[in-house]
Amino acid sequence: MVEATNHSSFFDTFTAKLRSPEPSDQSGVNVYRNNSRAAFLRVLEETFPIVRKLVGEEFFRFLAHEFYGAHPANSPWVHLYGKPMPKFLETFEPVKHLAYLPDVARLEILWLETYHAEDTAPLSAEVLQSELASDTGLAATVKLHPSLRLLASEHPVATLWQHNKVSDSPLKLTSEGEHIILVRPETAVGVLTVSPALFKAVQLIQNNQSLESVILASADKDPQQHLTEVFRLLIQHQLVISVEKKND
Amino acid sequence: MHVSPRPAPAFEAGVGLKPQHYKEALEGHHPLSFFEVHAENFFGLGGPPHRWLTAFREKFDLSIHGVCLSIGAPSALDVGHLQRLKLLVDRYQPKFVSEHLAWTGDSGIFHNDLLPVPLNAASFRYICDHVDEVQSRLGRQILIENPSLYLELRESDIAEPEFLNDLAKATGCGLLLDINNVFVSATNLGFEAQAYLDKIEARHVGEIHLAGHVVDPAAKEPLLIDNHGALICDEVLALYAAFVADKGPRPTLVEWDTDVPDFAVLIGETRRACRAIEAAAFVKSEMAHG
Repeated sequence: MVEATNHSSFFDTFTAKLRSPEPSDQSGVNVYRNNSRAAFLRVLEETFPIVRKLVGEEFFRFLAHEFYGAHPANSPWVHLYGKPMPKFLETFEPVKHLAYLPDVARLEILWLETYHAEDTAPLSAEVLQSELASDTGLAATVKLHPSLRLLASEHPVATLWQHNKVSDSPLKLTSEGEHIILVRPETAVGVLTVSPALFKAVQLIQNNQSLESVILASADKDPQQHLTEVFRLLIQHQLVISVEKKND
Repeated sequence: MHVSPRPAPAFEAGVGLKPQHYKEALEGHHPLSFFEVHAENFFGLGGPPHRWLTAFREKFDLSIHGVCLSIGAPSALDVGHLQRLKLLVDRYQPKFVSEHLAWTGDSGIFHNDLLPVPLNAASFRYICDHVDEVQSRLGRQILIENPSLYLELRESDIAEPEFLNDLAKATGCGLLLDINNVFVSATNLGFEAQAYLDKIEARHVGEIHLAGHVVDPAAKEPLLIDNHGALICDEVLALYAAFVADKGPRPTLVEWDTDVPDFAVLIGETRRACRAIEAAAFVKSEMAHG
């Protein structure tokens, strides 16, 4: 028991020194303290390149510092370290006026999830069409690609994100929200903005709802036209990996 | 069959694999036989990183180098982390799997840096347990690397070479001898790098790391920072050559993680290592023949 106490006191003390806002009076401890902070800053820089661009280099460092103070990494897989950032930004006073910023951070996390998701071959358009053309087609549930991620934002964050990826010029933003789908059937991550009705359809399909219930859920749309639009989206962006028909 | 345009070096040479070098490294106009990647960078299930790594595995050996398992802390290893490592090792069947004699986190808080471990009888027991657990989970031997040290711990009463030799004997793990780390630690903590290397039992050494470091300009005492961002210094090359001349060649890897230069610079570093070995061998044979 004495041993265990000694261990924990060493590791707890060292942890406190690393996380202390003030540098240590031991230069050796400070090398570790600086290395640790620099490594976390790098993770955040790599996770949030567009947030970083939007707020500027200097402010991002301050933001990372404040985030570090509020959020100790709780997983050894530090690539996940930035996950609480969107929530943090929502309440972080200096950027509270940038209402879109938390959703830009959400989009950047989802982008990484899509990029690193499992590789699975999407169903070809021919196979998909023949599967769905039969009488039982509408009762089928459709399994979507594991890289698929969805984000509904009250702000035009996909537009903002795309623009800042390629341009430094200012962007005149509308106040329109965006419904965003991220998917990577091959090597490139697609970031698509779709109508609220299509977004809802993909959400229902992702939740294992049959195509029939997807159509019924959009009562205000013409069923045939809605179904065509849903199919066009699924085929064009290779969102489907399998079709599961109900046992008849 | 691929024919290397230059003679292969006297040892298996590798470099740390960086995304900016993927294309050039994969084309294979170089004498390297293996590439090392940080395990955690491939913990995702798919995507372009895995497509590249699969392509490399088809042509070269791989070394999977873990940096965040934290075997040096007393708390239990993270089950999810070990599971992700196992998936990766099963998938790529690398030639080497390695981790560090260091801790990166304890009791659920992680620091993303290789931190110093008190070396004593108590830590020896739990570190042996952790290495046993990793090896049994992965179903293979791992190599444990000596870290760069910046701080002497008063909790330590076993010297690092002795600790590593005993760890290898107790668990059957091998050692990844980082000669730059030995040099950095020796300078920072005030011991003789050559004396350290003399104490390492060479039969445990499965791989050698070489890298560059920088001098901290702000420190009052000489303080070297192992930044993996500079050319290998001449003293480290000399220590390396002497070790190889004495104990025989080992697969040798050049690491470069900060301000990564052109691929050709990394190849140049493996050639410097090769020439250092040839020079040391020549000196040794001259001395032997009087």
